[in-house]
Amino acid sequence: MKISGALVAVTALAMLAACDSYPRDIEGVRDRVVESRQLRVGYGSMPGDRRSLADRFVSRVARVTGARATKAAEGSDEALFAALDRGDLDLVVTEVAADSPWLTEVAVIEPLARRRIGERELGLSAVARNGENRWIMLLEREVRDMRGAS
Amino acid sequence: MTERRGHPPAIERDIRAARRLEWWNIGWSVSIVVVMGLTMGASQAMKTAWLEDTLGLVPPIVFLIATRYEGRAADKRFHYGYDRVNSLGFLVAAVALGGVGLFLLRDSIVALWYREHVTIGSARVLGHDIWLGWFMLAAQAYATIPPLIIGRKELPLAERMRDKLIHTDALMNKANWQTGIAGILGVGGLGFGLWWADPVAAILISLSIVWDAWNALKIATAELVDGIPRELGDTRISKEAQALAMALEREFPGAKRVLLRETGRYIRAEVVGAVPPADFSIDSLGIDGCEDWRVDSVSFRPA
Repeated sequence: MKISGALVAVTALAMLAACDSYPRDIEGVRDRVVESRQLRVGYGSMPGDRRSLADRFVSRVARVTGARATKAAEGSDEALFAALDRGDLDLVVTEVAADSPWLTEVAVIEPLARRRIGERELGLSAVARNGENRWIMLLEREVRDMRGAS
Repeated sequence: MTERRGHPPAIERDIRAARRLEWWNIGWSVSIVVVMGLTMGASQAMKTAWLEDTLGLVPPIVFLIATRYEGRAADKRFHYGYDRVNSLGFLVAAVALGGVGLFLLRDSIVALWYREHVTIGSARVLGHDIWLGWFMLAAQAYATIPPLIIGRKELPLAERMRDKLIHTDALMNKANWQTGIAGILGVGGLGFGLWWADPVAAILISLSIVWDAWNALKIATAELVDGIPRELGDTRISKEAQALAMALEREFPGAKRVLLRETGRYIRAEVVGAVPPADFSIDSLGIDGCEDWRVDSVSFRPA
């Protein structure tokens, strides 16, 4: 009991001490983007009005991180997600179905906008590598701010 | 055959106190299950801890049902009464607990093996973006408090009542608050970017579930197959059973054997190769080291 209590206290203190950079990314994507000042983005195929929305979002993220956004890839979601998972991309913006099997494989942020095609709903979403929790938090904040502003 | 005359008032009071405690246990456990369920997200450690907390409801529920049945007298269909209902319920619970524990253990090992990275996002609360991991940590911290207090209150009751179900529940409560600590370290470690912290915590929690199940299974099985009365949380014969056997052997030196078995919190004895005197009663034995109420019945089997 005493040892467990001490462990909790040490953990709590360590967390408080590290509050500024807590949570951290597992692979350090956010730090890499900020330090390298380069944001590597992959775009899924989407209609023109969606693409301009995606560009606006990417610009926001680039501004907040002080990085320059570069279109590193464009194409099928599978290829983009594989590149994201390998660390070749920092961010993917694409339209993801609400029942997509990719929802557990990558971190799909709440949509910037939604549209329906027949019975299926597609959300224009930022997608990050799973476990990059600090980076994901930043993307979520930008999505909420952008939706709040529009 | 001579039979017991019910519990002494002190044990009756303990049973009532245990029932009240188990109602509190259920109430707190339900609140923990709700809080953990609302915050668990994608964390494997949280999911595993949530399930352990949910399964922690089984012993108190089984105890409440069992004590209700225990109070019933023997009837035409059940000549020996309902003392073993708790063992039956406990066996079912132990099998369920073990199955789920093994399933979760497999899940956690797979997550560790494939180096799965867990995503924990954020929520906007009053204009502030808060990492959901903080809610998980708070839920886990909350989940450690009730089992810590209830488990400590259960132990002395279990010892006085010789109740294995309450004793095992106390041990499960101990495992539950330790699970909370493991969960805190798992989610906390994940926040430090340690991807393995979450599945490792989940593996530790799953092992604790399997361990609980194994112990419960041993206890329930021993009773259902007429095993010897055992000490709480131990496989050795209980001191009270030994005292009873010695008293019977002293009283009936010509007997071939004295057989003992446990039925709920009671001990039943059978003296083989002896015939009791007409005025035999359990009280006349004067058993030193065994409270009278524990001896449910003494029967005789002439050679």
